[in-house]
Amino acid sequence: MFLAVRDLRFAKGRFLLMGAVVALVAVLAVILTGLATGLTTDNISALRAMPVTHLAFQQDVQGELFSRSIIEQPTWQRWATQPGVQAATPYGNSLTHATDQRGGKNLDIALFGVQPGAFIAPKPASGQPLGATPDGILISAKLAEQGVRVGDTLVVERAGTHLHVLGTLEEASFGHVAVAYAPLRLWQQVHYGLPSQPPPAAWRQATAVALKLTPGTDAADLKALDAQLGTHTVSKRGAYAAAPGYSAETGTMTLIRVFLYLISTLVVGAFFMVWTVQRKPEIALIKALGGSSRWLLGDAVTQVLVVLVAATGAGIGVGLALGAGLTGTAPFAIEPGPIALAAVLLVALGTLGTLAAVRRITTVDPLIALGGNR
Amino acid sequence: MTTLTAIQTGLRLDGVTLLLGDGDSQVTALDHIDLAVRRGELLAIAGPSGSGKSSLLAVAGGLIRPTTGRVEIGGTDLTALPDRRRTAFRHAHIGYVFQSANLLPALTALEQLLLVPKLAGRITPGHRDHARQLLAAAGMQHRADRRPHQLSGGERQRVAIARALLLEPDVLLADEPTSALDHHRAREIVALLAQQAHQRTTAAVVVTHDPGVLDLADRVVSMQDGRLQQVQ
Repeated sequence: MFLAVRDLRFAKGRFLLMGAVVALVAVLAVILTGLATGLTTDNISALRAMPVTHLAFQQDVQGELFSRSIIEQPTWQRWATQPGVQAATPYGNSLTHATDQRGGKNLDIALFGVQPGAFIAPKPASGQPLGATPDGILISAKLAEQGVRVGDTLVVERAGTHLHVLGTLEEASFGHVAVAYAPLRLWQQVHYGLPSQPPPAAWRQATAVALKLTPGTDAADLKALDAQLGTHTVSKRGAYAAAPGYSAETGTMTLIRVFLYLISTLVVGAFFMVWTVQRKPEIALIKALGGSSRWLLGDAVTQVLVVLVAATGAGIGVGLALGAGLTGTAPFAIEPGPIALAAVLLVALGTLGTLAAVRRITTVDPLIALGGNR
Repeated sequence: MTTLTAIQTGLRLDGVTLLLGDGDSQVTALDHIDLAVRRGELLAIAGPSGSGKSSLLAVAGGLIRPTTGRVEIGGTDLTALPDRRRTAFRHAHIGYVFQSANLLPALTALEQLLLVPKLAGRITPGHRDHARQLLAAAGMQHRADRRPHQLSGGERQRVAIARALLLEPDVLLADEPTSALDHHRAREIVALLAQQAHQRTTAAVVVTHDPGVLDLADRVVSMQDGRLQQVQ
């Protein structure tokens, strides 16, 4: 610490420059982390909020499970009677367009169909509960922000089905589209997609079976049940990947962040490598004065930690301030967990990069201090 | 072993030979050197470049292990110590003054001295007092808070001498401390070394190729091709 802080003060310019680079990386890390969190929320917040443990889809459906899977009534009824199943209920998922009759605004809606009173039926934040009227729906906060009000009537395009807004819900999105909950029968009508009455078969269909299983249910048991009931069961987390664009988005964001951390590690490592090489005569002198390599390494690591912690802290502060400005205009959300992880990663990886660089302190020969003519 | 000679002799070299390089390019840097420096004595080693003066200092200071022979400081055989103990021993018993540019740019004159106890642990108020006394003895009390770039070459060497003396070493080794100084300053620096050696009963060795300062030493030996010759 003795020498480390005095070096920092003496070579202010260089360390400020280095600190600025780390701070900018930290700003970027906060923005990217916020975007990743925001994109995830925008994509699967409605799924995440559902009190299910698993979803059982139609067997042998590839890719877009939520839009392709069809489950029949006997299947969800049989699921409900299986051992280890605490609750099983049909769940419908349909992306649709509707027009608000008041004002004529066009809206994208992810319509979730549930049986009123089922364990996955949400409680309204305001207004009446689901099932109060056969054509009543609950809208998520995002639709309310787009100007839809309780009492409005939304008309589904093509089918012409009328959806009457009964109440509102917390923020809930699926595939970047605002969610509305409808009674299963109304959902079936919308999902059928034509103005006429649907055929009898349509009234017995849903997208998947929403399941609440006893904790610790065996994967082998699930497989056996799937085989028996003709379904394909995935965990709630596993179902995220089936949400439109989810895997591509999280994959891209993760890749960008991995590269950011890699670059930051190398930049910090390279800086301290040059710094160490430049200080070689001083290091030799301290060794000749009886300083051990351990003392020198301790001093160097202290110096790195001071720079990294200060710069990362400053960068995260700026990043959070910028992020606050972004919220609302972009899918951006700040959660303490991921931000703290980013901070820890920046400091830890920077230190790691530096350790690799300052290892050469141990190989500096104190004889250099004695000078040439031996 | 604490015989009378061991107490009075600060530094003793017995049959020290140092071979550098190997095979055909092997050079005998030091050739059977026997040398004893008493406490309170300033010994000057003169000789041309490449005669082995700096090698002698490196061996005497425990920076290089001799090929054969013994190096004793205050009765301890330096050549028998394992590396880590040798570093700690050097720190506690040997003071070094190097050619030039041997101060750390970020530290003030006072801090240059305080770094020495810091290397082994904590700085005590005693260290601070002692550091100020030594700077005063070197005529540097009014420059204690200056950094090296604000000091002249002579002033820097004064700070380096004060630093070398901070832990009251048994042996003070100075490697061409006047090479960057004019004649007047060079004499001042060597006089300071002699005065401090006498006053603190430290065995001091100064290596120099400057004949103008030799009269300030208590004893002069000269080196030629790795061998010592008595001069006075």
